[in-house]
Amino acid sequence: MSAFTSGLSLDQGMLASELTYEELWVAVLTLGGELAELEVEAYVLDVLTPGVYEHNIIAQALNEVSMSRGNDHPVAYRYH
Amino acid sequence: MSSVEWSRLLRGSSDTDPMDRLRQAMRLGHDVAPGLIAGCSITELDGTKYSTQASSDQLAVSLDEAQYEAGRGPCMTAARDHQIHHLEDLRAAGQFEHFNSAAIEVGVLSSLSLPLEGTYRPAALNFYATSPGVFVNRRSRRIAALLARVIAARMLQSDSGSRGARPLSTEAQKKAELIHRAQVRLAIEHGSPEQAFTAMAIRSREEVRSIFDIARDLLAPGPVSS
Repeated sequence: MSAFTSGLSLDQGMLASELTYEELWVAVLTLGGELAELEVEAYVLDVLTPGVYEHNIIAQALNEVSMSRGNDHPVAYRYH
Repeated sequence: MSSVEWSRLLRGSSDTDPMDRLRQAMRLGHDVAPGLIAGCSITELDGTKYSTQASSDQLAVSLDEAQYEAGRGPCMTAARDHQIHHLEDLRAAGQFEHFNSAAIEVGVLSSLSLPLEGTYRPAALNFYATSPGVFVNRRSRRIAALLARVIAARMLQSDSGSRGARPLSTEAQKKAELIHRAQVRLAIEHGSPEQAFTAMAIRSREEVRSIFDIARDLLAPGPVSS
């Protein structure tokens, strides 16, 4: 069973960020991710089930954007 | 949701039969609004002739053909003019009377046609739904748009936005390398680079700091013992 910290889902975080999917993809690559752009979109929409790493790297990308705007970490991380 | 099917379509190898891929994509059309999609199809324009390249079932084909016969319809407009065409309630008077009548007759009450961008010939992805207003739902429209992009990429047999295609600035590449080095360093303690990333992400949250700062700290030389 998955365990999450409290916070927004990837989809909710994506909406709050107002990023385009391409911008999110580049943010994921900047964190060292190797996902395809369409894969990132599919994970955010939850049509593709992300593993722990995939979830957390997208969450981190969204949270880095949030921090750059002076906010905290709104998107939840997944422990396992 | 058919996560396995989406995965196959997204990561499908280039030697898969293109028609198999399109048939696979048509099955995923039902994920746009589970229980409410009557059918989906791909319309293509070759010269002046429209045809259905793939479909989920005969109902979708018959609704496409009703439009080709009438010489007008949302799927044709979407393919030809590269415009999204959303008909929220087919019972309301509209510009495609022939299509509306054909659709209502088979229990279809709303439709969404999305242009497939970048394909060799003008094309559109069509969804037909059994209730009005199905495609007003934001999530449904976003999944439909994703499927359209995946299909367009697969029709081109391209790997658009693929793994390894890194449109990164020099600064972004340096940041990615920084995270990678920190992951490798932490992997000894956490078991794998992926688990190391999660540890850094959670530390970033706990300390309300950027993960790049966390990585820099981890890689900084420790105090020199005398």
